[in-house]
Amino acid sequence: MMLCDYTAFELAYMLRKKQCSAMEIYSDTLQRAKEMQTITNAYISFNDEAFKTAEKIDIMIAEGKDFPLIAGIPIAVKDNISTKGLRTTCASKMLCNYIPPYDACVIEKLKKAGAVIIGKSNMDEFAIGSASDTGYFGAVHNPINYYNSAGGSSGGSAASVSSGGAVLAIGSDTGGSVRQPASLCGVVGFCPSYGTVSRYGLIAFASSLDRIGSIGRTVKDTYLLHNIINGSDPKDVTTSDIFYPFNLNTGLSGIRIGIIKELMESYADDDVKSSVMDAIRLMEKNGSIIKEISISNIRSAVNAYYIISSAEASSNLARFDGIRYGYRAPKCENLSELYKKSRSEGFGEEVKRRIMLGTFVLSEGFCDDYYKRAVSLRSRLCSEFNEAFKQCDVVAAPVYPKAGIKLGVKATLTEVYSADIFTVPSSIAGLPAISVPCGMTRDNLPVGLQLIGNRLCDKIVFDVAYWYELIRGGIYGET
Amino acid sequence: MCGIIVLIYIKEYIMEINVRKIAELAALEIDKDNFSDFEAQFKDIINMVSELPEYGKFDVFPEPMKLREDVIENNNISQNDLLSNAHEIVNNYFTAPKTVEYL
Repeated sequence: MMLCDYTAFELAYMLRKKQCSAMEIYSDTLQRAKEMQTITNAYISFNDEAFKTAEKIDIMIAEGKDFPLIAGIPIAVKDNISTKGLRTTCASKMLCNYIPPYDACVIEKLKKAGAVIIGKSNMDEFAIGSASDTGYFGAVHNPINYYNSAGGSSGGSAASVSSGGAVLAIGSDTGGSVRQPASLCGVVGFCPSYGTVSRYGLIAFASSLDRIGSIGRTVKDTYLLHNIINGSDPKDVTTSDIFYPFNLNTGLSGIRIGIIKELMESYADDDVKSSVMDAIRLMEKNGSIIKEISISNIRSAVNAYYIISSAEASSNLARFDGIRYGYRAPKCENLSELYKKSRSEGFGEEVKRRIMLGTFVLSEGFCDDYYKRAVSLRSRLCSEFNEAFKQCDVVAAPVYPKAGIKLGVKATLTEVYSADIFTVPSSIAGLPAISVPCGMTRDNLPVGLQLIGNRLCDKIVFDVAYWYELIRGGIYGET
Repeated sequence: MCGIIVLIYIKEYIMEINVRKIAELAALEIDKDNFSDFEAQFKDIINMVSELPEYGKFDVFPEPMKLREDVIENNNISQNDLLSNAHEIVNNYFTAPKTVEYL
């Protein structure tokens, strides 16, 4: 067992007991990351400066100084989060040479806490996709099964944590992009309430949906990371502060767990459904109360999500014009040709498709039929969730209909989009949600249990996930 | 019967979508060789997302959010750093193809 195989909490303890140094943790993790890179393709860039942070932490330890729990822990950062002086590509040809002149708010916080940013993780281009196979730098393979995708869009973040190429990772979640890869790679992925983590420096896909999430091998590790990055920021007007106590609760007897009828009726593989139902039964056996609830508008959530997210992507990605930064097509005679050629050559096919879908739903004559109906559905869904959370404390559901996505196997786009049914309802309602491993299929693929909380009730989502992890036998146990 | 009429209506409606025009509005070009596949997929997706309930007269649409004051602050980013990602810089200016013709 190498140091990179320990949890962040174990490593924090070992650092304090001087059983290892931050440099040793970094070296082990980098070695594993590079060994796995040829298999998973989880990273786009490694951070050549990372050792300096590890050295600094070791000096602090030697001097007997106090330091945050996350100090010296190697972290992968999704490549759509700006890192000053470190290439940030969004896995796109458009930004393949882009070096941000500033740090994202979450990066400032991580650096201040002494986290070791080991590298920038691979993803779907501009976080648009669900198998990390639309990016310019190639697909991310699942460390558990090479022929499968690591999921997406934060596939590199989840794969690196799963394989020991990072101890923790930051991802972004617009419609499930942290939870779904976490589920497929057998790790924990948390998407916070909208507005609890600053998006300053996150290269935008869909601003009303984008959230920065945390990935770890245990619920406690994931909570540790979230506790560093959350908090209000004047540079993101949608943020506000909520208080998170340090410890997670486990005395949850009597907690009410809702099961949404319409979601459970949606298609999911038998193995996935049975793992999730086993998890729900285990929680019931340990004192929770299971309640069936109904949210009728959930069936249309996927359609509303694709309309709203594409409309916002169409607007956000209009900034890539080949002038101030990003790819510029050669030999263009006039401005309009420069825009069109730079964008057409710089963006991949899926990104172009979504930009065009967004352009269409906002265009004259179609806006009322598409965008307005989607926005109306969104507010109705929020009201229905509000009512649902009067009857239960958290909602339990699958994360994804399948436990594995085979790379290179063609599926129709409507099938691929429809598979987001379990993650997008909480995305469009801005609710906190976590994916926590809950079992394996007959093919030895991990399955995630999704727990969704009411808006700003992030702590209870962590509490229930932690409690479930413990009653299942802890991180090293299996039921 | 009603269902059939609605279905035909939607089908005709989708047919009206001019994918070339949308690409033009988005400042994008679609590869000529793949255009028909792209067009068919695009229409399938629009067909899928069009299945949404109508909005009612009592639905409330969100107002544009209040933005913070646009205050100039010193963020310690140099002009050089800000210009360094551009394809071409001349005398500290971004460049673009000529847009004005002199007679």
